Amino acid sequence: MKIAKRKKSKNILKYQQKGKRFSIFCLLPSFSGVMLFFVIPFIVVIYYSMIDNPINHEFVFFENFISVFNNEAFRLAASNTLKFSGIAVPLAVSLALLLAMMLNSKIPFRSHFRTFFLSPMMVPIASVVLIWQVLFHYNGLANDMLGVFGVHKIDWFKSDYAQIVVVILFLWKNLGYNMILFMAALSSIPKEILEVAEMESAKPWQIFWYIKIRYLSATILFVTIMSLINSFKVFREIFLLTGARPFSSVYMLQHYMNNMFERLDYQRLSAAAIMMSLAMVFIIGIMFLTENYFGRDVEG
Amino acid sequence: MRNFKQKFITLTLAVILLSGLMTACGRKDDSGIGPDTIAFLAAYQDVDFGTGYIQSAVAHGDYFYYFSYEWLAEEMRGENKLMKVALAEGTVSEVTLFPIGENEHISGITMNAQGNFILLASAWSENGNTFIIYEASPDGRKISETDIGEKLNIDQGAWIQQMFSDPDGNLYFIVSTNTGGTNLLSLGNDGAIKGRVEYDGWIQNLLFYENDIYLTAWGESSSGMVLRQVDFTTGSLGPEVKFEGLARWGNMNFANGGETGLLISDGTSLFTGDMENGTVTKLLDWIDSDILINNVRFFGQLTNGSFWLLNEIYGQDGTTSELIVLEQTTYGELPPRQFITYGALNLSHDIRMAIINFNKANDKYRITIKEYLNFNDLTDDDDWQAAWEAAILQFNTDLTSGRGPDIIDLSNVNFSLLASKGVLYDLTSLIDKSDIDRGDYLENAINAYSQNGKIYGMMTGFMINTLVGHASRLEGIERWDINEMIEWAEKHPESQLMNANAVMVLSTLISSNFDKFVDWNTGKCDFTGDEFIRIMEFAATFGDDSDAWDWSNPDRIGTYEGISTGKYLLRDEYIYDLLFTMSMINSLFDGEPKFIGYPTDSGSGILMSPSGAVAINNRSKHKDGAYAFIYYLMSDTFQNAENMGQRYSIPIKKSAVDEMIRVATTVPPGQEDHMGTSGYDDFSVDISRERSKEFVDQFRDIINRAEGLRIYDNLIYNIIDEESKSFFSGQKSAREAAEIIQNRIQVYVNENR
Repeated sequence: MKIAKRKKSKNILKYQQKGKRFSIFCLLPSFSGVMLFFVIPFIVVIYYSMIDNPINHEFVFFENFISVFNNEAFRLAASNTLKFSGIAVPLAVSLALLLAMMLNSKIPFRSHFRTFFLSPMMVPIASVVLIWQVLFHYNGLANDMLGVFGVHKIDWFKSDYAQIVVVILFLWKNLGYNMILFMAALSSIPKEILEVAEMESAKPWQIFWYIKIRYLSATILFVTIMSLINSFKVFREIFLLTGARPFSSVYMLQHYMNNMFERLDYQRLSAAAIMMSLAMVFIIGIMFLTENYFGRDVEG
Repeated sequence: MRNFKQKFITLTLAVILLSGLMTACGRKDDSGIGPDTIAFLAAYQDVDFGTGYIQSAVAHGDYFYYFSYEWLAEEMRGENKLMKVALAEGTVSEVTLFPIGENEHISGITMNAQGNFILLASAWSENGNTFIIYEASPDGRKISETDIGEKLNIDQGAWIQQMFSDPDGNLYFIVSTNTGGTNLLSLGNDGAIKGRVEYDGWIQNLLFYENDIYLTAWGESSSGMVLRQVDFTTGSLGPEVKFEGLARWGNMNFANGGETGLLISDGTSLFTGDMENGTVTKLLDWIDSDILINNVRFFGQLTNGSFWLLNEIYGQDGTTSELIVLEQTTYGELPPRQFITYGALNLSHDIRMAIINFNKANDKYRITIKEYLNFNDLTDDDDWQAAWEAAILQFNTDLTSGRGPDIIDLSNVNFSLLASKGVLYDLTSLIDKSDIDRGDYLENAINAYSQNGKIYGMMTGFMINTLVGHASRLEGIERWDINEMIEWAEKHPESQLMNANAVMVLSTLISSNFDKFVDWNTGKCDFTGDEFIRIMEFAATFGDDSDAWDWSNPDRIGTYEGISTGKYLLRDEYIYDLLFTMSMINSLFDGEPKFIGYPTDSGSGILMSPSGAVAINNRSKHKDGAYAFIYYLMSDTFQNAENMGQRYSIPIKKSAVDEMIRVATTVPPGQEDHMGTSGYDDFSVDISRERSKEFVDQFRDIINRAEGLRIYDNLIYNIIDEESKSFFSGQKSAREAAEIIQNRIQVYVNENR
């Protein structure tokens, strides 16, 4: 009996070991991919950020970080990026939520509005840029309309107004997607709770603040993070609109990094990228903490 | 678990070790060439073709037949001899030809399927041209004679360019017409005209392939040479036959041979071609066999598999021809040499020639080429800008990843950037260690690619770029800055500074003066100051258009008229020699040119525009070999004046400059001084060596005064160019445009501090 038991447990162990080996084998391709395309490049970036240049490979430790941090172009890019994200992301979240709530209520032509707001997502970026160039060109439609009111022409892309144009472009492109996410989240709020609240004479703003926001907290976090990431990717549109060296008001972090790459300044590029990543981790960490606070009492 | 871990580690280590061992076997070196890499060894046949275009020649099997020409001075007549070259053996013999008629001249030769010669004899007389076809046996005996002049019915003044025959014995003639086009005539083996095809362009050659006839021609489109099928029945041409992978602007030639029966040379490489699919397979690059292809009219494959070609080289003294046989071998069978990689964004003809000559002469090193972009590979549909940017990106990536070339061609690359990043090796020690005496070279040329006292690059030759005006109007002015130049121009309100538009004038004024507006030490820019705005306002007076290149404008003022009447005060000139450019400039300014230079705060303003420059990659493992090539470029062999003159370049070696001057001012014995006329637009000048003596001092003076390179920060210039246009077109004021320029350039300057 003892021998049989021992044999059985030995077989089980053997089977478990086999299973482990097999699962390691199955995980190997994904693991290799993550290592090859994420982890190793990240380590390489850290390495590049600590050498003097890609030719000599002499260690200078944190000198590149200090140099980049003190660089006026980097500071300009960082402040522009933060400013843009600080304006565009809250607007993208709040306007999308507002639109979602509007479309969630029983208004006429609801489905048409939904299509209208979603359609910018389907337009290729090159076409978007072309449209914006025509609209905001010095001799474009926007200035023509201003001229009707006697306002002097504005160089939209080469003045401080450029940020406004980019914010509008960003919102136009991303509102639809955020709106859809919020609409899905709104429809998942248990109707019984809302009915109970109404029966208990809760005011609409109380229902919104104490119930809906709580249930939407996870979606708000997700939408905010996605919008934040997209706000960094707005470089693509700016680059297509204004080139590699735009007016200072729309000179973003990625412009700085792009231009460093062109000039073989890999060390500064890497240092800037690491600083940007750390800032992103910090911001997203705060968002998670906030979400934890607001959503902690939500069911499930 | 422990067992598994041990086995995994052992296996991984074993794989790594084995990989390392295996890579050592048959290892290719950095150039990618290994012992098994196929090579084609060029054997130059000892055949003297003289100097002159080989009008009449034909290849048949392993033999090449051509007509040599000799002038018999005593008899005051020329003599043609039919020569036979056995390509495989490299021997030459004469075929004693039957005597042809008086005044007759052999202008074409081909061979029929029986191996007999078919000769075209032409004679010109008062009564018109006569054309006779002779058939002769392989030993030169006449078999038949036929007068075909009447049948061909060629206009007076037209001439037969070439003659061909097909396997059926039909004859084909390319006829150059009086109207500038070429016609194709076909004469059947029955003596009747089979067909005629008219063509507006220039028919280069015919190809017989699988019972079809094709022609190659120039002048039809912007795509270079075309290949089209000929239909004599309808007298028309088929659509263009295109082959993917051929050099777009190459001199295409076709021959029968290879696995597919079709060999194609595009001037860069030799291919076999698939006519049906339009694809090609590369057999070899001509340069890898140390052959600089100018024009390959005849080439083919011998029965032993070797390739042969007749390479014609055009020079100032006429055309010389080389007969070359290429034997296939491997690099392992050749004497070992160290391979050195030469990397260029776009390789110039001069450097290509230098590499070939270096490889032929040097038994220790061999240079292989890595060209990042060949414009010949691009079509009209390609995005040239994107291709250029991709080439630069690849070049930069290679440099930073350690896979860069040993020798870097500095043409079209940002020298300052590469030097500041430590990409370039300091040549000073190599130059000082070698037997080169810096005193033998022009000081301004040898230091042109220096930074902080170190020489990072070496120019191979240069042109001088300067502004030139009439001495009488520039009296008392030896050099000037921007303000002085503008003030001088404003003193001549009846004239225009240059025949240029606003953008060109702005470029002229600021291209040597970026440092005036950008202080790299403090990082401050000053484009909103009064000086820059004044420059923009002055440039704006020239308007958008320039009639400099508007040939269709009947009111256009010619170059000479503009200068001689004082309508235009200055010209932007590039000077590369004494004989031609100095003669033309002196003629243009009625013998009183003043080389005033571009406006600049310091220096002469006379710039050097490099015609080539090279550097050594700091990470190269073969610096000695790389320097051996630079040494060659600085040697008399490369720097000699004759070659430089053909390259539109002034040498950097003083003795070569002296030789250039000597050649330009000395009439060779037995030759006339007058060398024809040269010019453009509304003026021409007689080129004379005697007259050139008058310009020697001027020439030496501007060479000595030239300083700095004709290169500038493109990024800054592009921003200024882009933003100034809105001011020039009246959309913005000068100050508004200047503020945007200031803003954008300030960001750029901040990035790079």
